[in-house]
Order: sequence, then C-alpha cells, then structure tokens
Amino acid sequence: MEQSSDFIIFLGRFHPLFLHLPIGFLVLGFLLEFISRKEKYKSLQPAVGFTLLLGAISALVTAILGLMLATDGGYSEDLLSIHQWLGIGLVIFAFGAWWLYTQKEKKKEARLDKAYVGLLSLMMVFLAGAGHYGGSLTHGTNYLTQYMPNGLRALAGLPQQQKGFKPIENIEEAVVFQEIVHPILEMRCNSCHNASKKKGELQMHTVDYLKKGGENGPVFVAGQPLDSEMIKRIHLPESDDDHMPPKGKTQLTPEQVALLEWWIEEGAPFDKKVAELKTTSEIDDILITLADPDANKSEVELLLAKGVEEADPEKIKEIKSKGAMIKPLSNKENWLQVSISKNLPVDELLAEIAEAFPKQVTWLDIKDSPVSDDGFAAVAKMTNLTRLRAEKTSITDNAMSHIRELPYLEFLNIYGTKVGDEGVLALEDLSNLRRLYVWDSQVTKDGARKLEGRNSKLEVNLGFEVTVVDSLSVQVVPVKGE
Amino acid sequence: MNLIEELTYRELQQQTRRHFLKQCANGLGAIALGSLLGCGANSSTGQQKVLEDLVNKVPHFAPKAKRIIYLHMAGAPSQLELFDYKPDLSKLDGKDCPPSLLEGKKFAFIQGIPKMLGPQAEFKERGDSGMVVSDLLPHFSSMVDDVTLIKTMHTDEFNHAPAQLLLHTGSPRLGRPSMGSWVTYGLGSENENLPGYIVLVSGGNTPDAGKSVWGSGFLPSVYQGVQCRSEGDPVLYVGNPSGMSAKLRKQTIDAINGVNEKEYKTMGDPEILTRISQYEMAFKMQASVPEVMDIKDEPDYIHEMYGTSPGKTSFANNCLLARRLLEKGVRFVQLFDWGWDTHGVSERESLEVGLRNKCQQVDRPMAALVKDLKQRGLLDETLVVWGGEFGRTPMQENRGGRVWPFKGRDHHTEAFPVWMAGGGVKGGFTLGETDEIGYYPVKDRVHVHDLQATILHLMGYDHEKFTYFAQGRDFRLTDVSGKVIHKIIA
Repeated sequence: MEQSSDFIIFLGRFHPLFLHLPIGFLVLGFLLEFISRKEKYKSLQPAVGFTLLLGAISALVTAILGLMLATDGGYSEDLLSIHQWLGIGLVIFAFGAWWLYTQKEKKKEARLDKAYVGLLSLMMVFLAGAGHYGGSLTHGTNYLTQYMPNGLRALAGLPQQQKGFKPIENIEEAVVFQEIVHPILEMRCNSCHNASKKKGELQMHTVDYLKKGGENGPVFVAGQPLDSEMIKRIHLPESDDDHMPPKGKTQLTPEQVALLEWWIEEGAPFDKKVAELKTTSEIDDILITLADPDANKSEVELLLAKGVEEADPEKIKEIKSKGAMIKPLSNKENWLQVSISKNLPVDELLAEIAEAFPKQVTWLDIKDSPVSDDGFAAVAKMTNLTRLRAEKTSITDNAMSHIRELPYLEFLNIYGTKVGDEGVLALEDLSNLRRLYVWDSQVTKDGARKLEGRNSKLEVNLGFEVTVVDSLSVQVVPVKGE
Repeated sequence: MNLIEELTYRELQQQTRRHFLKQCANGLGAIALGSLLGCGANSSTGQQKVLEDLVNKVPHFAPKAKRIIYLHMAGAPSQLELFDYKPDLSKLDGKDCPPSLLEGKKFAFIQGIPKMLGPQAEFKERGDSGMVVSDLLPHFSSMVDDVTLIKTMHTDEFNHAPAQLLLHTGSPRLGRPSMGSWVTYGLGSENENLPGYIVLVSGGNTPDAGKSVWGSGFLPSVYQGVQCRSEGDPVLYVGNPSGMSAKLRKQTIDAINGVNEKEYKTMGDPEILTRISQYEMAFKMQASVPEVMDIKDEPDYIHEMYGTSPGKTSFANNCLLARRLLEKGVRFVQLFDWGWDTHGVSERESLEVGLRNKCQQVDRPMAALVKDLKQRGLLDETLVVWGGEFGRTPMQENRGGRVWPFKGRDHHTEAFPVWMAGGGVKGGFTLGETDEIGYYPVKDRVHVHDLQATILHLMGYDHEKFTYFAQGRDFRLTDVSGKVIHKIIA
C-alpha cells in the first residue's frame, strides 16, 4: 500500500510541470478563434479545433495528476478545494468548447456559435481562476502582492508596507515574541508553514499553531534550545534534507539564530518583554541593532560600507607601472590599498596618488621607505584613509601635523620613527583613531598617557619591557603610560 | 613495449575515421567560439597571466588578516593538562571507565576497560578575561586577553597522518593542496624575492603525514610550501657550490629559462611557467633567504623574549624567524613542532616529563611571538593559530592491556583546543564547553572544516566560492562542509 501511494505522489509531482501545457494550448485556441474572425487571418480558423482538443486532453491529464498530488497533503483545505473544482470545471468546459466548435462547424447555426463563444469565455475565466489559486497554493497567498509598490497598494485597498528595516523604538519594552521572534519566523518560515500551506503538517503563523508543532512533534522545548526541533534543523548542514530553511531559500543570519536560541533558552515566553528576560552581552549587542542597525558599527565601518566611486583605471595603471602596488580591498568594492616599497621615490608617488584618486585610498603602507615629512602633505589629502603604516621611516613630529585632520584614520603605525610626544599629541582630534603603535619612537609614557586621556577609545602601544627571571623564564610586560 | 604503451597503441588502432570527424567537429566549434569571444591577439599571454595572477589577487571581501602563522604541535597536545580544566575528572581518577564512553568507539591503543585519569596540572584563571589556563603555560597565561580559545574542536580521524592531512588539506587522504597553498593561491605574494609560503620544522622530526601537509596538490606547484632550516643552509642547495660565481649562475638560469620559454610557446603548458618562475625565485632566494634567516642581528632583549639561541634548530628560533618572514611579506608561515604524542609509554612520551618539557620549549617563544607582533603593529592583520591534529582521552592509555610506568593519554577525536590571536579574532574569548570530563563538546562544536572556513573568511575568501578546477570538478579546501564561526570574529 505504502509503495503505491508513494508512486501516486511521484506521478502527482509532475502536475506543476504538465499544467503549463493546457494553459498554453487553451490560451492559444482562444486567441486563434478571435484572430481568425478577421478576414486577413481566416486561414488560421481550421487550427482552432485541433488546438482546443489538445488543450482539453492536456487539461484532463493535468487534473488527474493534480488529484494525485493532493493526496500528499500539506495544503490548505479551502484553497485546495477551490483550485480543484476550478480545474475540474476547466476540463469540462474545454471539452465542451471543443465539442461546440465541431458542432458549429458542421451545422453553421448562429445559436451554436453564441453558445460556443460563451463557453469559450467561461473556460478562460476558469483557466485564470485555477491558475491563480494553484499559484497561491505553491507560493503563498501574498506572493503577488508582497513587493507591490505602495502607490498600487493604495489603489488596491491593501495596507501600506514598511519598506525594509523596521526599527524597534524602545527595545527594553518590546515584547520578545511579538516584536523580535515573530518577525523572524514571518520572514523565513511562514512562506511554507502558514494558513494555506503546511509543509510537514506544521503551521507557524499563529501562536497556537506554533505551540502545536508539526508531524515530528513540537517545534521547540522551552528552556532547551539544543533539544528544540527548530534549532536542531537550523544547525544541520544545508545539504541535509531536514535542514531548515530548505537549501536554496534565504537562510537565517547567525544573529537571528542567536535570538531564536535566546528566546527558547529563556523559556519561550509569548508575553514577556525584553527587560523581563536575562540577556548576555552577545544578545545585548544584537538587540541594539534591532533599534538601530548601525548601533554596533564604527564610523569607519559605515564609511567603508558606504563605498566610493571607482578610481580612473588608466591612472591606476600608470602609477602601478612606476612600481607602486595598488589594488582594491576586494573584488566587490572600489576602495584601494596602496603599498610603496622602499626603493621607490615615495614622496613623488604619494603626490601623484593624492592628485589622481585621493578619495579611494583607504589603506596605505609606506613602511621602511624613504618618505619625508613633506611627503605627508600628500597623505593628508587622502581623506578616507583608515589605516596607515609608516613604521621604520625617518619621519618626525612635522609629518604628524600634516595628518592631524584625517577624519577616518583608525590605525596608525609609526614605531621606529623619530616622532615624539608633540607629534602624537597633534593627533588628539582624530576621534576615530583606535590603535597607535609608537614603540621604539621618541614618544614617552607621559605623552602616551596624555593622548589616551584625550581620546578614551585609543590604545597606544609602547612595546613590551623584557626582564630575565631565570634561564627558563622572562617577564614580558607591556610598557604602560601610568 | 610496456603495458601503458601497448594500451595506447591498441586504443589508437580502434580509432576510426568517424572518431576523427567527430573530434574535428568539436575542435572547429571551439575555434569558432574562441574567435567569437575575442581571445587571441588582444588577450594576455600565458606567462603574463601567471605572473599577474601572483601579484594581482583580489579576495571576495576586504580581508581582516593579510598573513597567517600556523603553529602546529604535531602529535596532539593534551587539552586536559593545558586548556580544558576538569576538576570532576580528578574525582574519577583511577576508577574504571564507564562502558557508555567506550561503546562503538575506536581508539588507537586503548584496549578493554581503561582507568580514568585526572588532570596532571594545576589551573588558574588568567588575565582580565579570566580564561582558565594551566600552570604549564605561564608565558601564554600572560597574554590570554589577546587570544580566542576554541575548546570544542573535533575531527574525523584518530591517527596522526590522516588527521594532520584533514586539518591542513581538508582531506584525510593524500593529494589535496594545503591551506597555505590555497591562501597563497588566493592572495598571491607580497614579496617577489621570497616564496609566499614557508615551512619551518622543529622537534626532531617532520610531521607523520610528511611533506604532503605543505604540498600544493593539484594547484600549480608555485604555491607549494618551501621548507627552510634554521640550522646550516636555510634551504638545501640554494647556495652556489665552489667554482660557481653568481654571474655564471645568473647566465645559466637565463639560458635555461630561454629554452623553457621557447618550449612554452610551442606547448603552452602552464607548469613550464611555474618552472621558469621557480628558477627566478631560486636565484633571488640565494640573496634574500640567508639575509632573512640570519637571526644574529636581532637585539639581545628580543633573544631573551623568545629564548632563542642562533644557529640551532628550535621552536623558539622558528618563531623568531616566522616573525622576520612575516615582516618581509611572506603570506603563510607554517611551523611544525614534533613530539607532543604523550601516550605515557616512555619518559619522553609522558605527561609528567615529556609534556612539561614540550611546554617549556614552546610556551615562551609562542607568547613572545604574539607580543612581538603586537608591538610592531602587525598583530592586527596577522592571524596566529596554534593547535594539534586532535585531542587526548580522559582515560589513561593501557596499550597492550598493560599498566605503564608513566601517565599518558590516547588519541581522541571529539574534543581538542585551538587558539588564535590577531587577524580579526576576539581577544580574551573562550568558545565552546565540553562535558564534565572533557570527552564530548556540549556547546559550540567546531569541526576542522569550520576552522578552515573561518581562516579563509578572515583572509577575505568565501570558502564555498573559492574553488579550483581539477580532475573534472571544482575542489575547495573545506570539501563539501564547513561553516564560518562568526562568534569568534571581532
């Protein structure tokens, strides 16, 4: 018994493949009928009957396959029965139209022709209806309207849709299930587990159905994320048949998974607010992004994410031919990294780069090169510079005063240079500066401490102090400005 | 005529005019397509292409790490004495292992019912992060706030060679390119005078899997790891023999390369280009390698920091060399230190003596390496990875059903540690938990393919899209699995 029902479903799955035949044939027959009424296309007239017959036969086959597919279950009863009866109606009307066509051809009666045209039109209505409800069964009822522009929505009387990200205003007061968990399920699960389509006997669109679970039992075990079917399946390899969302569909982000796990870990409450649940720092970080997606991003990350227009490839080629290494950070963006090795005329190359594409250079490496303090005037023009390596050069405080206004500079390495306290203190207004390497330079503990005092997010590295304890151990402690 | 020749001959005899015409049709089609797509006069030649490939590699997304140094402790260090503190295991010390831990398991040496073995070291919380590390690693303990520790690595192989291959090449069998080859293939070289991928070995032996763990597999052999020695000639036979002057050497190489270029023009085999570039590289290395491999000019406090003594082969020297190579722009430095296989069957292989000695040899230099990279501002974009090929059992090894005079543990695939520093990973962060005896991970299990995926991710590559076509299909380092561990990325 088992095998024969499997075989029926196997055949049934050809339904979505076959159904395109009757649609094509019947629409073609309908068009041929009306076009051939024009004198110019009269020669097409004899093809109408044949086309309608093909359409009717393929509609019959499709309908039978459809009934077989329905035995698989997992579809909304209401939608299915509408689709089914529209389909069966379509088969009858298609054969009817064909029969009337042959009769009318034989008897040439005006009454028959009227009935034929009427039936043909009715058939088209059923065709459209069956097609539409079939589509709703496979893709969900809101498939067509999901991306409808808001203007059209107003005309169609549908509610307006919030485009893209909808921030939660007060995260502490947000109801965890309703405002955090449910939107995730809605976005990634509901298209197959909803009122009309219940894959694996599971529906996730309401709280009651979610609690009820599917054919493999409950979806979650409150307090036990790792024993919860939903979480287990999310963690299966994507190639696994049981992995959810299925291969090819948009996957959950690691943050979304963490939120689902957190909600289940906290007992899967449906009415509690964020403030009532325990959070870890990891979850806190994710939660802030629900209020403001950029909350955890630094100004530099936002700048790099924003992107930049492409630099002139001819100019890049020209400067590369002089020996500078220039390449994009990745093959998706126009940001450039530049390094100039020690045997090149660095100052001149920097001036040329600052002239040709100052905005695009974001990483610059001129370590161990003969760059001069004046060369830094060109560096100062690269306004989107975020990382600068100029260690082991002979630059002094003057070089620093050139770059005191680089707004996005985050990383600066000037170890092994002649830069001193005055030089680094000139950098106090660089609010994005996070790492400064000044080991083996003229910078003192005092200077480092002062600078750190003025920019609390800055970490100044003065190197390590090495004290030999015995033959097997040494003490290597960071030099601190305290 | 040997068998192969005979087979070829027979096959040719079977070829008919029909075959000829069929192949012609394909060929003509391809030629037509080629001219349609515009390859020919305007496209760059093969040689240019290979050379451009070496310098102009652009990753899928902006990399967090530009260079890697991988410290592999060959033989597999015991996590239960170093990073995974299990006080409950000491209560079970000397008791029979419960059968539930043995059912369906395969061990390299354990037979029958072994006894449980408690931790053989003291542990403490370290640094601001409170990471728990044993007393055997005092220097490492002083830098835990720069380190991400993964306690829940697991692998598929319980013998050294296949486990090492799986870790470094993504497959337990021979023939795949190693991680270093993939990385240099993907990112090219930053220094045209040094190979992009260099291997240094200490501890007296090469790893069990042999040189395949730094082989290039089916990738062009340009991407193979180059082994350098820290004692004697850094690279064997790279120096000129007496009577051969640098000028004569240069002329010889130019002549050979001239012949090879002609050969390439007729045959078009890309391996000829590899050969040409290897000759060039070898010539450049005659000057660049002895310079970079000479650690005598490092200041005293650096030697004190690492515990190095110039002229010897040691893990400490290799760590210092690794830093020098990274500074010169070498993309991937791979260190292997042999001798961590603490089975307890001899003093050298014991937890009481052998493991302590090994810890003493590596603790100071590996901590010095991280700190030295940090003070040079290199740690932000250099990824340091440390680990073995698998872990060790919470049971005492009873090889041959005997009680051995020393304490030791058998190979264990289910839980082992790897730590990483720099290169875009979090500092002072511990990922994963194991059960009360350190047998199975209970949270955040990480497979070696996940580690590889994460390393490639940090280098700017999507491990699923980073492929190479060989033997009729696309290959990748992570085979068909692997997930990036986003939790450890800063």
